[in-house]
Amino acid sequence: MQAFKAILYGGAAPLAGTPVVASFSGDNLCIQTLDLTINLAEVSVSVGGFEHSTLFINWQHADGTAYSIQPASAHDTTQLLAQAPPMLKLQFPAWHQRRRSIKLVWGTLTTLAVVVLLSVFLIWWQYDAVVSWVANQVSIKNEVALGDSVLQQLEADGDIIKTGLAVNTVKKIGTRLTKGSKYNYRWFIQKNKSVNAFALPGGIIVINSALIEKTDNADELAAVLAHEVQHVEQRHALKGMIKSLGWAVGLMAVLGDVSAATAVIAHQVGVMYFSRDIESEADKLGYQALLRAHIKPDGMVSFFQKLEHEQGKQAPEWISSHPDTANRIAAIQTLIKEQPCGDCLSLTIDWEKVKRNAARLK
Amino acid sequence: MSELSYQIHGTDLQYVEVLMAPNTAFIGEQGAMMYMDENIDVTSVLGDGSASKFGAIGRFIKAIKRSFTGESLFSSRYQNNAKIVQRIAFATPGVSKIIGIDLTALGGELICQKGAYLAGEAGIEVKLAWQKRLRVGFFGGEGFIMQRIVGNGITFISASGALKEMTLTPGQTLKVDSGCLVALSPTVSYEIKYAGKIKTALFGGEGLFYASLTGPGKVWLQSLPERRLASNLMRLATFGRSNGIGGKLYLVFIIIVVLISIFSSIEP
Repeated sequence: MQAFKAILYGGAAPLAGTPVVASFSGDNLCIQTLDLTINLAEVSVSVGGFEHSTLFINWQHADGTAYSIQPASAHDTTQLLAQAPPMLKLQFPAWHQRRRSIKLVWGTLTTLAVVVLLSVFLIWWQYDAVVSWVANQVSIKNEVALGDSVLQQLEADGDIIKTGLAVNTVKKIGTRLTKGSKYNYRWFIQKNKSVNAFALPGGIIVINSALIEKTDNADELAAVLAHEVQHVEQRHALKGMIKSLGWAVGLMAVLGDVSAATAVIAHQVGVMYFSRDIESEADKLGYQALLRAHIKPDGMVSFFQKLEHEQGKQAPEWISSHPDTANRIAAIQTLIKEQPCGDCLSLTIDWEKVKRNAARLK
Repeated sequence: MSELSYQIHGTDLQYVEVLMAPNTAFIGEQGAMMYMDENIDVTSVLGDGSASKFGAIGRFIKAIKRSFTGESLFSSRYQNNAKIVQRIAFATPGVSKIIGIDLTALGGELICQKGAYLAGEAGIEVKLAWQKRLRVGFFGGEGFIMQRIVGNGITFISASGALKEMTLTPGQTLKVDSGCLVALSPTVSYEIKYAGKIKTALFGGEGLFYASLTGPGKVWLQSLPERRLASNLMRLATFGRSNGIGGKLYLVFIIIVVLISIFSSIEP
């Protein structure tokens, strides 16, 4: 039998223990250095030490003095485990189990931490994709309900017009633009002096009366509608809400502060601001929609140009929330060059009559 | 190295005066020095000033890990460059006593509660000891992080209240109230046992768990953990009496209110 190194504690041994050489012979444990032989029937194995991983073999002498040995190194532990007679091996499972359970607990905790960190990183990295995915999980019914709740607030102010020539014209052009859409669009005019138009989730398009007065022909209004419709089709409002909700949840997790998160949501809902990327996406897709509806897309350019000229004086709201007008005009002009529309025609509507109707709404 | 000469002064609030032989050095926690002779040079070192095989970054990481154990990022190195013996004294930062422990006699390693280390001979390192069992970390009263003081020579640790040093023979077990443990040699098993009696836990003031220390090895216990002292002082400051029955009366009051509300809601 091969000997292994161990440290002996107890009795006359110093506090730090005495290094000894031990081995097994038959059913006995022999401490060679001290010429001691202990019958294995009298020993007990325990797990201990600060690391909870030390294997102790304990026994008592006839006079009641307690002794114990621990393997001097990891190598000696393996030797002890391998050479122990079957009688002693019966006592090892507790040691194995303790080590396994510590490994399992810390392994699980580490894995959990890594998984959480990785998923946080993944979500942060693919945030737009995640937002789109979440947005697609929201049914159109819920989106409509969301838009309705905002519309109700607007209606409470009493400035929403649902009938009349202007509304019917908007509806007529809009329906032509949204042919084949999965959304059931509703078109409204809001009595308001600011040049603005906006889309609510679920297919609600609201045009301010001042915007209609600003347009010179039906094509220009069609361009604005085509743009706003894309916000609905692409679920921009919903995505924006989900996005800020995500940030809020993240902030809440990091700062543990609910009020900060609420402020983020409130801010998002308050401004309904779309990023530059989203606006150019709406421009581009709006252009395609005009083409599909065979409406002359030049209105887009002329209307933007008109608003840009006025920007110096007092920026119309629809433009001020839409950054970089010059760039957008250039982008649309490029589109007109690249994808010209041969059979597109101007809308034939008595525009002065519509404008007069809108003007009377004030 | 262990023939260092030192004397601990004071009764309940203590300081230790060390006689430093020529060309020896001592490492002390920042702010622990009370007085020293004129020929001792003081330098600030990162961590405990020990080298690392990973160079400057390794030393920095060691210092960071050390700072998690309740010590500061930097410590002071006191070097006796004179040809004669010089005195230096270190005082405790709280209502604490000091004990000098000969690490060599312990086998070169000692586990301490967070922030216990006060000073030590140069070459002694303070490392982070991580508690691997969740229940001991959560309920042991010491948390997951303790100090592992490694090296040869004398180190001074401080703890509040009266200090008791005890040697446990192999297999001998001592039940200790959680929080009273100051230091233990690494061969001692530190476990948490459930008191097993809800009544004792609620009204006995002992807590649901106690620490169970099993030899072989040495343990150091403190009579008054700082947390207990602080909560007593807090209660004294807030309510004007240190150990009132207010808390228990309040509990009885709550139970009565709950009972009344339950019965009054059942009656038509």
